[in-house]
Amino acid sequence: MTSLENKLLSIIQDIDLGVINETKKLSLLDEIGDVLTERIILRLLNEVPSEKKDVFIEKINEHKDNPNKMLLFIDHFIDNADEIIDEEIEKYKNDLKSLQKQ
Amino acid sequence: MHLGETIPQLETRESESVLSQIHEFNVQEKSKNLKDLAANGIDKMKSIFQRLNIKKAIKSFFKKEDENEFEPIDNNNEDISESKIELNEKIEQEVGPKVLLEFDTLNISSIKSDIYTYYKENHTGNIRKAIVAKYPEIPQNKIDIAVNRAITQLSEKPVKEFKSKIATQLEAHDIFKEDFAKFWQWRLKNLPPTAHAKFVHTDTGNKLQYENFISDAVVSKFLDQHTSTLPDEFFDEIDEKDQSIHQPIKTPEPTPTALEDLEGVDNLDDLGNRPVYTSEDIDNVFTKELNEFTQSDPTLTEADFINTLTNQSNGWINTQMYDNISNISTKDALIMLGNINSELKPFTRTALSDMHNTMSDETIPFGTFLHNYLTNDSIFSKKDIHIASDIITKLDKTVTLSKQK
Repeated sequence: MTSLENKLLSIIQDIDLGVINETKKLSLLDEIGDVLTERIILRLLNEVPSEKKDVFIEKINEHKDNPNKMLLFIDHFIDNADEIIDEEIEKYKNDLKSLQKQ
Repeated sequence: MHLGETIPQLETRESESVLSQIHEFNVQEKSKNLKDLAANGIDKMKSIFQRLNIKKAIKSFFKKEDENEFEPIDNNNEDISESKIELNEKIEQEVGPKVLLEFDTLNISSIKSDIYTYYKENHTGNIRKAIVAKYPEIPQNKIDIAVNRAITQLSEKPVKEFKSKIATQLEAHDIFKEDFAKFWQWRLKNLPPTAHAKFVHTDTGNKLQYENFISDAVVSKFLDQHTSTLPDEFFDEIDEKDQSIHQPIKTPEPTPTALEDLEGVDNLDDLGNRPVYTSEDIDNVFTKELNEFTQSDPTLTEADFINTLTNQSNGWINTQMYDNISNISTKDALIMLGNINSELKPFTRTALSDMHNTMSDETIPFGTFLHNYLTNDSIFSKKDIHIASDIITKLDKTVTLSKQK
């Protein structure tokens, strides 16, 4: 997941934000990061086989304050975690684009 | 107010509008997501995008604000080069003084200041060469030891961090108690062959056992391959880790002082004076590891344990590690092993004495000698497996460090 950070930044790059101050940009990135994390976890939960869901939930809660541990866990627990994360980031980008067209 | 100040303000208002729109969308999303997560018993969690590395990229992004673009974080190119440079600089700045400290332990401190002065004046990036050139009378193996130890000290942080990282990864594998095949596949993919056998008899749920299979071989191999190319992100991640992860890891056995360690090892004849460990000692180690193996899975038997170790020993013979040490002369190999005597397991020290006594031709390749010494047929005994593992991994580390200089 070494390109995870680049993907998040690419969301900002895709949005025509014009000139806003640094604090607001950082705040926006935090906000997007939170929403994306929640979406990714929900999506992964749907992908986990039912017999392993309890373990998944237990471990996610256990690492809720340590994103690095959580990522390591996800990476090893779900074979195609990278693909799923990419898909969720792409979905979110599309949502924002639709929003701007409204 | 003149025109030049008006236009940016208009742009800012448009940006604020977009920002506000996105913010509202995020608030709604967050509310919905948190409800869904709670319904599934999942607590609110920190963002997985919080890693320190992103902050660097964000800074880069802001620097280029006018161009509205950012520089991607390329962990495979620029960061690695910078990391390499930093490591080299660190070695240059820190290894020199550490080597001098090591020379203190080698009881040659009287020439310490001379060496340091010479090193500073003639520094060519290789302190070993500088010392050898200045003091040819100091046995090269002592110089090697001092330099290697200094570098090892410098590497303590990455070693500790690597162990922490591995422990974290393994923590995630508690789940493979239910799916052993998957666990097995993971370890084959992620660890070098020499660590595999130790994995086998480890209860994945028992953190106290981590140290057993996070062996020197794993650490040294990792360092050999990655220390000089680790991106900053690796260290940043580790810095953020919960320090409690270090607690379950067993404290390494205290090592003898440098003088105890080195006393007499210049002379092969003195190797025979090492403490003798009996076959009972070896049996005790074997029994302990066998118990751990069988306790990890009640369906496993002693035969499974022996089979696994035997299969693993064949793996060692084919590894790069074995190739690395197999063709050096037996005399050189035994001297090197003598110099790292304190790092060897007790039963290996005993075997080392025996090896010295049974050596008939000091020029034969050590691989041939080792094989002949350990076994009379094609199957290793349990004692042989432990000794081969210890010797190959530790000697490979020494030879590799020596080649790097």
